[in-house]
Amino acid sequence: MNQDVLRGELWAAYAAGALDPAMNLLIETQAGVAPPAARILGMAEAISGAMFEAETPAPLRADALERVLAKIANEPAEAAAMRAVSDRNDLLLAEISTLPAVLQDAAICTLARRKWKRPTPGLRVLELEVESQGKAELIRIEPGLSIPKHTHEGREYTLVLTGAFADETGRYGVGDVSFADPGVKHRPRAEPGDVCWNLAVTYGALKWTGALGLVQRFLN
Amino acid sequence: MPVDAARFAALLSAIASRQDRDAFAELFAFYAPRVKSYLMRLGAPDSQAEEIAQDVMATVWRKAGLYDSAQASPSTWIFRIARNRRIDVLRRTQRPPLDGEDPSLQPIQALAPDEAVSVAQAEQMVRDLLPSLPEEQLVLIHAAFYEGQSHAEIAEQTGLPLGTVKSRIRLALEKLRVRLGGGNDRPV
Repeated sequence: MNQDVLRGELWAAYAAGALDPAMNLLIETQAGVAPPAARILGMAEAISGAMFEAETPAPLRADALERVLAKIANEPAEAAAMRAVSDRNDLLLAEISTLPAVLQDAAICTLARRKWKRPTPGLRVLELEVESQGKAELIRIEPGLSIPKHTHEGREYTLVLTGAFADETGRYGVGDVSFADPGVKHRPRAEPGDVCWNLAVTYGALKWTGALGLVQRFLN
Repeated sequence: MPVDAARFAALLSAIASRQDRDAFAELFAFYAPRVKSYLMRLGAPDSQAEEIAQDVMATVWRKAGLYDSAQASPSTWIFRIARNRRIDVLRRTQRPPLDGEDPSLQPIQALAPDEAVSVAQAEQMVRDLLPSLPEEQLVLIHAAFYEGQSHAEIAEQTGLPLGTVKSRIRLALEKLRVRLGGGNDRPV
């Protein structure tokens, strides 16, 4: 049953603003690609919003309203936010512009300072600038491509944004989150068809096994 | 005292369309002291809570044009602004990741037809139903969804066993759900 997920700790922590920022980004992005997830998020926020409304008022300084009015005196109310991707010829940016707004913003801020990485052909990874205990990465996988087998020291949550991928634990389509516990070894493979964009949030380092793992060990 | 969400929504629209200061003053009178109280509850000293509350209300003025009454009630929308501002300013230790057993990680199913009410309607129902929860459940929902405590922290603070915390939260959410579904849900 759908609302069962609400009794877990994730949505409550989100609604209360107590979630780690990388996970927060994942939750907001999921709501942007999966309407049922948006509904769950709405329910959680309805609860926190109702509790806020019932909050015992704490009086402000007598001149608080005046001060705020002075601050906003010459500011018109903002129109709806404009979001423009500057270079439409850039294929990656054009694709990013179809992703949820909250993620686009994070990616575009990051791209001002950081570049895409290509760990293997057909795979692009952008580590997003998020102040987090973990790591948030935007990942693009060419259709049909396999990611080298790797294992996890920490926990990895991967949200599918476009396309689909499958690994030893199952198939994940748009809006699904794959969860890999520490020690899980897997080899995700993007399905043929659409490019598979993912947002992966990892707590603890990711270890590659096999040949790529060797390279990583040499580099470290 | 029930809050008139439609009235507050109209005030936000008056701010957006004609920079209506009287409308803003009315919203300010209701929400600014609640924002301040929320910040103090999370540990901000009075002067800092005052400053952030003023800031949040200035943001409400600026962003009034972005408010959409189909998406959220004014309280939920303003709380979101306050919460995000609080995250930016008052950095607290944020919660570490969940364990794999947490029910949050279950797949989310598509909506059942009886759940396909608008976000705004669902929100109103949640709001109406919350006060009917038994106090022992309501305080736990408050701690989890509003104060942002983990189930383990709640157990520690209340002295309740962790299993009791989890089962009371589950019961509370089931009540909300059953009534949201018109009482037709299968028994759990």
